[in-house]
Amino acid sequence: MTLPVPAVPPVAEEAADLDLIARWKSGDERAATALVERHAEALARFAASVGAREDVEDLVQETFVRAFSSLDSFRGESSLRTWLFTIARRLLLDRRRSARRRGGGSRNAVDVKDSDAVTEYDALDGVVADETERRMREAVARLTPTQREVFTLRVSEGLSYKEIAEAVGSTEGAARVHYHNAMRAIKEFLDD
Amino acid sequence: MTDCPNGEVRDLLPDLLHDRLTPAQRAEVEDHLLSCEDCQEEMALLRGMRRSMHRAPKVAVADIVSALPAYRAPVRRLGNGWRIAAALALIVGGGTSIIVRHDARVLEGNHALVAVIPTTPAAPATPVETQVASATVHSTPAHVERVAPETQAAPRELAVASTNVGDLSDAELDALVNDLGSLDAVTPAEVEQPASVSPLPPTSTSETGA
Repeated sequence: MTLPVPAVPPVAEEAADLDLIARWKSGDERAATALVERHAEALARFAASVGAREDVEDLVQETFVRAFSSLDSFRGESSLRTWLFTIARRLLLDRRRSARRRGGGSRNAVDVKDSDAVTEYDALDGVVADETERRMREAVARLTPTQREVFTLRVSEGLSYKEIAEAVGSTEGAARVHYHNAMRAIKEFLDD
Repeated sequence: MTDCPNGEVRDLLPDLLHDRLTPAQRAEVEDHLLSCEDCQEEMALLRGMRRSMHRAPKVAVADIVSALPAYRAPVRRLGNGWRIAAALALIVGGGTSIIVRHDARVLEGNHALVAVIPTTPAAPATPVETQVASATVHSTPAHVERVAPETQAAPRELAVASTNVGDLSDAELDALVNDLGSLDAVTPAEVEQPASVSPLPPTSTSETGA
């Protein structure tokens, strides 16, 4: 079987983003609302899954503020969503560094305790997930920070390895390895 | 739960989940899924993982939008503009200098007449100007040349040149002829070396040896 590896990029989605950006630059405020509506939820998912915890909404807001402040530097070489993930990730890392300097954060703030993810999601949604989903989230929570980041972007957001590499500042090959290691670790956890 | 040995297809399962495959890729992966239990299990796991991970905190879109800055078109940096302007000024200035110098040489090459005015004994002890005039002798000088101070004691010389005598009007020619009445002619080469200019033609070797 010979399958070309690159997946189809959502061209229509990217074109719609570029159109909205152009409209916002020409003074259409509704375009900004549309852009936020299109990407806020994905950013919140990403932020929550990589350990942003209670300040998810704040992180998402700051991501958009930063992005809109420098939209002229967005060249459209990657998708807008990938670019937003990149900004959110940098912000998260900066916050963790600041917290470490202040002595308020743990050495590895991303590491999540056994039931941490369950509590986090339940508290956020107010919904008690079924046992299967709870186990799945726990499996993700046990991944290393990089594996969790890559796995979330690949499975939850559907990014290609190339896009993931751009978002996390890595290579396609490294992203692929992290994904498959994460999948193996999740399967092992669920099989126990 | 075991892994399918077909790594290529496993790699594309998340893309199938998010509908990011070409029709040909999709058909091929789906054909494989029909006969592969490992990939069926992994695909089911991916669907469940996606569903569980999609329980994200709600965000207030209106709050985010209200915090967004207004768009400001990028301001062009003045630094580069000044550099470009300075470069242009240098090019234009340099080019003009070259053209003027070139024109002056052409003018000298087209001398129709060159004359020397006898020295004024009571010449002031300041640098003397040698003037190469344009076709109309009394008009503004086209070129002014400073002569070194050591030539101050030498006869004061005035070289008059025309680009082409044929272009002069009768009145201009009359004025020129009148002026020439009291002048001695020298060659352009002699004008360019004022210190060695002599109102008399050089004596021949035979004459000096005699």
